[in-house]
Amino acid sequence: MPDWLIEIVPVTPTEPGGPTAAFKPATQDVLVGDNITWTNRTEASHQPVPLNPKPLAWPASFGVDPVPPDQSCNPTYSVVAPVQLDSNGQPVIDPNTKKTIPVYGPVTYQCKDHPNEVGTFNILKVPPTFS
Amino acid sequence: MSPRDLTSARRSGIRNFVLAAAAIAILIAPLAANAQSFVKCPPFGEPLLKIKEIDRNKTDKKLEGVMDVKDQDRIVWFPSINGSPEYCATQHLRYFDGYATGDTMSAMDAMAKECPKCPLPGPTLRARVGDLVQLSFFNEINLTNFPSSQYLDREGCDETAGIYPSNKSTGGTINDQYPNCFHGSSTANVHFHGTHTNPGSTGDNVLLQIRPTPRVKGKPVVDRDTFKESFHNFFQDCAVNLATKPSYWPTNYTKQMPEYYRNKQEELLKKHDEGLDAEQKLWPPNEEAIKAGAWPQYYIGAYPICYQLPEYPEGKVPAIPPDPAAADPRILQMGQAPGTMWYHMHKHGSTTLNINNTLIGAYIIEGKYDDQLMDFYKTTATNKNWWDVDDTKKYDKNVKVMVIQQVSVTPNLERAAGQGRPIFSVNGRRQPVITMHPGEVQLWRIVNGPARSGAYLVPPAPTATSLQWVQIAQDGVQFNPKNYFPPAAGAASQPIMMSAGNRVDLLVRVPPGASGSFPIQVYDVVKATELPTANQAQPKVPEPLVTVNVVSEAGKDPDPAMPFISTEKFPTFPSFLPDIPESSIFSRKNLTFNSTTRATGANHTINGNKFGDNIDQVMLLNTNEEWTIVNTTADFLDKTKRAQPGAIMHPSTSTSIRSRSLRSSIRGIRSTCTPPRSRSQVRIATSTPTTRRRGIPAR
Repeated sequence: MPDWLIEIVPVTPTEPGGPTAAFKPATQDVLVGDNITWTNRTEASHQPVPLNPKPLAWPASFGVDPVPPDQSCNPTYSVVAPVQLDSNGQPVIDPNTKKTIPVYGPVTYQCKDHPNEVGTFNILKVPPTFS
Repeated sequence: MSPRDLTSARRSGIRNFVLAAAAIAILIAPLAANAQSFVKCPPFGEPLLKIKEIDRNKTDKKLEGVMDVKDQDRIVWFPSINGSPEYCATQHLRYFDGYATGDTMSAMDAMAKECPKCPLPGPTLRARVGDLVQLSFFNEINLTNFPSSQYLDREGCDETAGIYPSNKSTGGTINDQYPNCFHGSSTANVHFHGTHTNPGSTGDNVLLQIRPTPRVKGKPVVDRDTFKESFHNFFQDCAVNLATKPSYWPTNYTKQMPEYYRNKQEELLKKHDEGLDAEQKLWPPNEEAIKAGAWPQYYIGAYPICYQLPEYPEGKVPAIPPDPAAADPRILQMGQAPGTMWYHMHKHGSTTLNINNTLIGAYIIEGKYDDQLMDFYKTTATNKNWWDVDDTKKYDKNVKVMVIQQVSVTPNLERAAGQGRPIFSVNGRRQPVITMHPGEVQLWRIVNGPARSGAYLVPPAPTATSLQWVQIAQDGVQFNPKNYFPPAAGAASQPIMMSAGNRVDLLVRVPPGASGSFPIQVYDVVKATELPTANQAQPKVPEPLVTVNVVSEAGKDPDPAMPFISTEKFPTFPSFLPDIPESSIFSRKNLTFNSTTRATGANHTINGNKFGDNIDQVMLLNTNEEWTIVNTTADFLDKTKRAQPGAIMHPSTSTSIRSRSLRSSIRGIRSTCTPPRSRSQVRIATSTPTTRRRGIPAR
């Protein structure tokens, strides 16, 4: 399974109060079980945390500690997919597998200390094909 | 305090250090060329790449140059997921590069146009028995491109949230702890696997830990010029001290390593240690070792490698067991065998990841074996097609050096379970093609470089015009002519099992009249159950490892056809490798290897112990021992259904090895019998079991 390195890089704000850092790439295609490492190329600390979907569909945390300047994150994050919820907001259990049902597609995250810094994983069920 | 708590506490030390450093110098690395993405896989069936070489200087009898470890994005193949076909992605890998003194371009730069972003093995090293090896070694890995858990060399483990080093919080069984956990994978050294030389100091020293150079504004603090004069002076001293007799020189760090290098290393290590907890610091153990007269273990950025490949005196026969009273200390008890060796990074705690990341390469040590093969094929009038006389071409035409790889990015235990095995490639390509002419014989030097999988090679079905092969060497040692059995015309060739780390030399022959293609099939074998001979209801499916395309060209096909070398002309077996007689065995020992699965803790042990600082075996110098190695790892197959018990690393079986307690022979025993991640230490006692340990730096 692949590993992905996502940089946190300095950017020039385009409006007052705009973000001074960004995730690069802003959107990363991933597979369930891939490992992600954020590396911080700015002068401030950043901490990626989940944004959408919300818990219970998605873990409340990546388990990743704040990333100091010029460092990479610890621990590494292993991608899990959000799960399908019922009308009460509870996870649906597949009667055949007795497991939750993964939902593939885009999920967003943000910096805990700088909420306007937002990134996206696009969780794929299978890798893309190329002709 | 739990291991996780401990690790977290230590991380805070790192953060303090980094923040303090940031206050002094603004450390903003230039943005890396981060272009990791899913990509179209390179096509199968491209020509086998010839990996660029760091070649010896014939005049000086030296293998002299630069080796370095770097990192960049390279293409990696991945196995099917959720029914998908095999797929590819660019991934950030560490790799070896280098060049011989006088070359104008590094090996990887020279191959970049031919095979961009290919996950190539390191440059092939080429030396000759008797040569001096002098390599300036640099670690230029940019640590910020890898998870920060890999920043620690002592008392730290890699971490994947909820998975590793402990997954007990999520109901798992993994509970790895330092030093037996993945850690420090950007910290470098080089194991020259198969060399019979100095196993300590600046020789084949696997206990060295050479950290990446620090960087300021992205630029390395330690570069080619930092120790240029120090290394130059050291190599001169080394050449003088190893010129007259084989020795362990250098043995005294304070007196024999250049003062500037020692002082600068102390400065760099102390700077590195700032803000770290006491047990994580690297300078104190170095200082302790130096005071005790041992060789220090930790360095930053650069290290000089210097050792000799000892040549055994022509016509001598060693006494078995050695007679210390009669022995002339200037006479070797054993020499370097010529053959196909390999090298790889060997950081304890990260050897698997090092190897997965392409930190491996072939190491050809030439000698009488090569001369005699060459004589047969070159000097026989009808066989003059073997090895061009022109030296610039001699390795291209009939000799192929192949490094089998299974490139991947993170060990299984550090990621979610059940994600398949890495995929075989050869010299950075999938299922490459070799062109041969009808009537041609080639020498294939094959290194099985994966950290785990065996490669079971199956020859084409026998016909009068099928490709045939015969094995002539194993693990860098040629066969005794008594064990050389080339197949008769049209007869079957023998399948070959190459466990992880094995090397095999094959003579491969395409008979006259042959045409078409001959795929060489390979089975990915970890357990006995996966062998095609394992009598399984659903046997594994092989795939081509390489394919030989037979091309006939008027005037270029060997005529008459080239034969396998005759038994009479087969290279002479080295006199220093006689059988060890039963009567000379001083003591016998049993070693029991065992590995448990991820579900049962993923523990790897020898006699029930994991790797540590304890010395598990003591041998008396100048005696012979017989070790019986038993592998009790379960493979879930009824023994009666196993066709080849003991053929590979996992079957429950036993094997016996007789070892001579010559200093240089110990490394070979250890390397051959233990998987890379588990290692037992051996002490050689010079008189009694209480004498000092040798070659094991204090920690």
